[in-house]
Amino acid sequence: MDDLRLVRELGRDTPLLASDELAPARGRLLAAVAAAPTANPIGANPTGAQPTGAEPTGVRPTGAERRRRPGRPRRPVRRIMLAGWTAIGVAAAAAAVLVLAPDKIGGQVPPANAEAAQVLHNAAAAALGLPDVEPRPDQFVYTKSRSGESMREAWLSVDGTRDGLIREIPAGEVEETPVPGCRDGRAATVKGGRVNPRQTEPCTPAPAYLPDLPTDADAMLDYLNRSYKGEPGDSNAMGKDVLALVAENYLRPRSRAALFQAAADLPGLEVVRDVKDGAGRPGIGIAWSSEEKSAVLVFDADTYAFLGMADTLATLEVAVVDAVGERP
Amino acid sequence: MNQTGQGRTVVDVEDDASVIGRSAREPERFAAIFDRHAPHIHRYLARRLGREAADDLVAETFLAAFRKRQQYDLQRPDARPWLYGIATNLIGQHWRDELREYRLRQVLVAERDEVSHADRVAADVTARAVRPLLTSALADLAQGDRDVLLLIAWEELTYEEVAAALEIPLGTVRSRLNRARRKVREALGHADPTTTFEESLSNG
Repeated sequence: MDDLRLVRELGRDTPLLASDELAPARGRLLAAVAAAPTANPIGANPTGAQPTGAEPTGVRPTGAERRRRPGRPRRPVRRIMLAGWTAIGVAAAAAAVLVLAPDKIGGQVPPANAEAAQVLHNAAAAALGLPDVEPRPDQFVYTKSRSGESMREAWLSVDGTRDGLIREIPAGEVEETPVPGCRDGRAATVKGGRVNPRQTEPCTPAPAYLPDLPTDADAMLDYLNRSYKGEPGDSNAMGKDVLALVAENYLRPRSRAALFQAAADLPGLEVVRDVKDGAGRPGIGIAWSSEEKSAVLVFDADTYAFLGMADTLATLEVAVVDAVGERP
Repeated sequence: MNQTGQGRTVVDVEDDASVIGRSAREPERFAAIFDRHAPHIHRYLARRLGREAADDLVAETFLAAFRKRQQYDLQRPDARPWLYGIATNLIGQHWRDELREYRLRQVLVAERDEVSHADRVAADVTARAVRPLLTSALADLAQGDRDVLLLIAWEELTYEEVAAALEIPLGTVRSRLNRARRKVREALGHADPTTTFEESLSNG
């Protein structure tokens, strides 16, 4: 029997509710609606932080935006796209590090944990020791990661216009997912794992390297807050931004250090001992001390190199290469 | 304005984008978005987190949607994928509840099977027989893989809608779905439900 059909069957038992059963929820919404001030017209960019056309170049657009037709007005939401999958767990933790929403934690912001901050400062210092390469637009960011038994390699275009590839090897069987480059506002479609160059769809380029990322902690925090337009405290969304930076993009050492330092300045961190990353490598963990401690950043306890996320992700290699299929 | 709240099949009703656009100045219009989509969003939440959590989180979903209605992409006439995305984010914050729900469902299903087994048609029996395997397979999936699988299998979103809802590239939707399905097949493979099903049909 088809696996999708079996899963579908599993959802059959749950009924659609009649409207009267939803009345309490509707009441809550209406109460909020009644309390809402009449806002600016939609699209008027109420924050004024990111006027259209003045956005940082190289910010990766969301999936929705990639399909936006050229010439359409940009929507105010602007997020860094997360190309990876291993990242979901990271998202929550990394986001929690960077987004503090006192209303979500009972109005009390816990004091910074000095030891956790120190780990991140050490990680920042370690990042500064990494080789500094300035990628060329025609190159590819290569990442190799592991999640349990599943290996993943990705070659993503530095400027987003070249055809990239994601190769996953879960338990011996290779799965390849082409990532067509976006050229002149169009990208080839992919069907059944194959690129169909004759059929294209609208797109905006998704660069794997962001040339204008800040290089100091304050500017990095500011950048994250600016490029993040989600709801305050929406850790999942903010986490995608941060995770994309740490795990899927190439960051030059100073930006990478700035990212860790920005995280270190925020309260609410804690150290988790005896953690292992997605490849089983032991390390020191940094977690956000909310009730939803769903993920832990793992650093090497001696070198403070970023390893990955506890139990879910190991970032094994990040490099800049000249062609898809090429490894450092 | 002929909003009846009877769903999106009504022809001469404003599309969601128009309602949400107007709700910037006239917040009360947002109620129409609830009326159109709340039953489906509730069911999705109930499927993943159970009825009790769904009752609460359906309100949270629409409150969050209302708060960020100014960010809605007015090029999208149907708001449902966007709402699914918000609901999925909330589910992500309640992943412990979700795993508990799947474990609970395994137990409940096992009990229910004992009383009703004889009355069921073969296909239903088989579907029920593999449920514990399925629910545990779902519980074992990575959150992002599970999101994609269930939005497609349960909520019948298209790949494009899933990409928009989760704000991930289309290629990632495909690779997550592939992986999720493979893992489900592997989990079922050990019990070989296909064989059981075919046999029960031919023998029954």
